[in-house]
Amino acid sequence: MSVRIDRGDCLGCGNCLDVCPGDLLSLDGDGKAVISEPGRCWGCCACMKECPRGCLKFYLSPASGGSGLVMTAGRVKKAGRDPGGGGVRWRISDGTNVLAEFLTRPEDDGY
Amino acid sequence: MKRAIEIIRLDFPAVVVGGGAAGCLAAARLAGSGLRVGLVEKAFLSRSGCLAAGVNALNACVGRGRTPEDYVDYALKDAHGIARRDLLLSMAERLNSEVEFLESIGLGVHKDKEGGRLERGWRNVRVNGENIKPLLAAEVGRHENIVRLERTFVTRLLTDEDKLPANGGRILPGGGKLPADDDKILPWGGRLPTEDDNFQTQEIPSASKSKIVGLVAVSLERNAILLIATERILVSTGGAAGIYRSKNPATSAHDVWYSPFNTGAGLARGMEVGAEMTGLEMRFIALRCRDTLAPTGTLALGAGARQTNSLGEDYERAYGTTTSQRVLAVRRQNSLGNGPCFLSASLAPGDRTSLEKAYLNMRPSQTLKFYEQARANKNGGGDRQNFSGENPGRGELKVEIAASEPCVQGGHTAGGYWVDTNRRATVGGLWAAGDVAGGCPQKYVTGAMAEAEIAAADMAEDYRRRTGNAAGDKEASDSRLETQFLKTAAEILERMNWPAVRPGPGLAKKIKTLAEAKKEGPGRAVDFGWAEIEEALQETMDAYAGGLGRDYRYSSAELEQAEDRLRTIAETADGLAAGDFAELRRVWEVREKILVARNLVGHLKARKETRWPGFGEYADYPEAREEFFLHVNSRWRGDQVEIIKRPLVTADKYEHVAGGSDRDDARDDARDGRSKS
Ligand SMILES: Cc1cc2nc3c(=O)[nH]c(=O)nc-3n(C[C@H](O)[C@H](O)[C@H](O)COP(=O)(O)OP(=O)(O)OC[C@H]3O[C@@H](n4cnc5c(N)ncnc54)[C@H](O)[C@@H]3O)c2cc1C
Ligand code: SF4
Ligand code: SF4
Repeated sequence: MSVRIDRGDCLGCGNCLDVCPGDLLSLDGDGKAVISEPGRCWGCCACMKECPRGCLKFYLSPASGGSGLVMTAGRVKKAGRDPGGGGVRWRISDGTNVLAEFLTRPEDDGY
Repeated sequence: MKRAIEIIRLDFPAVVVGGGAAGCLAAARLAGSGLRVGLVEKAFLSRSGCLAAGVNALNACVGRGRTPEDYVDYALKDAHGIARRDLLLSMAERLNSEVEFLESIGLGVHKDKEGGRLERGWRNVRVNGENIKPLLAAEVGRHENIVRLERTFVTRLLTDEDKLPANGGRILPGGGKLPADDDKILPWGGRLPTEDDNFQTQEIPSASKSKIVGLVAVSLERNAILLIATERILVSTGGAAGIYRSKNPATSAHDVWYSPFNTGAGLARGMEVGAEMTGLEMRFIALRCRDTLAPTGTLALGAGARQTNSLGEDYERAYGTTTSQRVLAVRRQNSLGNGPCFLSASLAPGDRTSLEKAYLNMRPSQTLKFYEQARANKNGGGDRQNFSGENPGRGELKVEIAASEPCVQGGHTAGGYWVDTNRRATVGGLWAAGDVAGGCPQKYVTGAMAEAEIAAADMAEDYRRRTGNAAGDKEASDSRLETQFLKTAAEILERMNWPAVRPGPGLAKKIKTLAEAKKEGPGRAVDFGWAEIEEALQETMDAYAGGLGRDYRYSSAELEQAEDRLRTIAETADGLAAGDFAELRRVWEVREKILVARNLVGHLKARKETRWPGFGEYADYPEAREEFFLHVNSRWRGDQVEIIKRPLVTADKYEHVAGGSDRDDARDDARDGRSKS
């Protein structure tokens, strides 16, 4: 499990840096996000949820049955004090087609 | 040019080390009772620790019609008898108020039709907890008297005794006894007890005479070494992952269940100052979805999924229902050749999306895995494996399950600090709460918070009692502390080949003169990196201390091999250098993992039985033994683990036994006690 970063799309906003539980993300000399040790990513997806451009792409390693599908996410903005905002939008794709989309919100019916 | 390293001096009435579930709440409570608090966190409060991805249930609560006593009974049974009643009870009494608190700060708790909390079983509340950690961090943010020290890791605790704390007392004959019937252990290939098998529990005083005076931490944020004076520290750094090899070590070393960023720092720091630990040998092995290590509770409780083997047999009941027995069931089925094992269920229309969303709230990789699996099925696997994918209404769900790498923690199992009912450790001025504290399994988020609450109240009380009458030796102790601080800074700077420090050269010189004369280490012609040392540690533990690769089995001879290898690895790790603080963090992490591993091996060796077969099997002693209804505890002394066996604590309250004489006396007494037995 790890993330790859689409450098072309990265704004350098730094949102993703301050949420990684392993402090693995930083901005490089060009002001783009980089992951210092991809093999040390825990796959928690915290970084992706805060990226405004969806340029953090999460995938399963081949050893975990990954064949190259990617997942991206983005937080839905909402005024108020809940740091969860209006929830998270998720997308799973194979690079060409979107296979699934979800909106998870704090007020959803659970499972 | 490299930025000079700053040396910063701080002072707090109380410091919390580790800003996870327990640490955030403790800091908020301490601040609420008027104390200025330093909160030291290795990463960022917003998403650090076990809760980074979120949760979809609060796993510990006391459901309708149940009492805290029911929770205590359940947890004791699940731990096969080895847990502390006083800790469980004081925790269980507070579980529901922690649920209410989380709801009050904005956690989405599911409701039933009558507006009550939706329970899943009687110990479980369903929530949408993607945001649980940011909510706790926001609570910290509401207190102005909390100083947040993020991207900062603790490197040492300081006590008023420069070296090891003194602790005294004598070994008295305790409750344990040698087995009357030696034959009892033979039929399963075990062996007769030897002189080594000391079944006596010991009345060694646990409260040590030494007291906390401060700590040292390294801040990546400030590029600084922080020298913090304080008389009260709460350790809440979580458990220890990464001691054993994970399943994909080459490219995905952190494909693990437990947070890989919880590296046992708090345990190691406590060991270094002689704090007593308990139950490390009760390692936690999680039964999880195989490829993603996602929890299975959602499938089992939510979707009513059943475990089946490759023959379609439902084997679960045959092994019992404790957490350890459930892990055993899967392992046994696999070794019988009946694997792989699955959780299988039939999903009602609409439930598939709900299930996928539930995983997104806590372990998003599992949702992606469902799609990877569906794609694999389409490519030829048919409906052999997972969601058939073809039928959008009713899906047959089949998820492979497996046991995880072992970790040490006191949140699910009971390994960690030996604390009293108020969560005080055995060193004065030191408290422990959450996954780092032992003796109290089945804690989860709400239990970790309950412990934080108990510890914070006791710390605030201690502050009120002690302020004012501590002025006496203040000056003398201040100058002593200053020296300790600078020596500890020297220890760090030496590893980094003496970079420039601020303020100025005067300080740099002072530090350098205080640096301990270089120990005569073993000669070495090659410098190794921390990653190589980590690999050595994990390889050793996997092979000789019952890792994943050995199906969690170990023998006495193997454990001895582990001890020998770990000694060499520790020595080699002593020579690790770092170019900057980011690298130094890794050096510290691997060294703390090694220390925890060495103590763990001591515990595995000491519990000469197989108490929790799912979590590990001692080949020489393959059954549970009556004589081991006791707590296996330990203290790290110099370069060795000293095992202490304590009688099971069954009362509602437990206090540390105050010690008298100093350390050497205790040693002699211990020797006498042993030779007499
Ligand atoms: C994957 C996973 C899923 C879980 N799901 C659930 C669930 O659904 N429901 C539930 O009730 N429970 C769940 N739990 C259990 C629960 O999350 C833990 O019991 C709880 O978070 C423990 O709290 P803690 O404060 O002890 O540890 P943590 O919350 O992990 O906090 C430890 C903190 O210490 C910091 N730290 C570590 N080392 C250092 C250092 N050297 N210096 C400074 N800081 C340091 C870490 O960065 C972290 O912030 C889950 C646990 C895991 C691992
Ligand atoms: S997925 Fe989690 S661990 Fe991995 S880089 Fe992102 S925030 Fe860090
Ligand atoms: S959040 Fe996204 S856009 Fe911003 S720095 Fe990170 S990767 Fe780049």
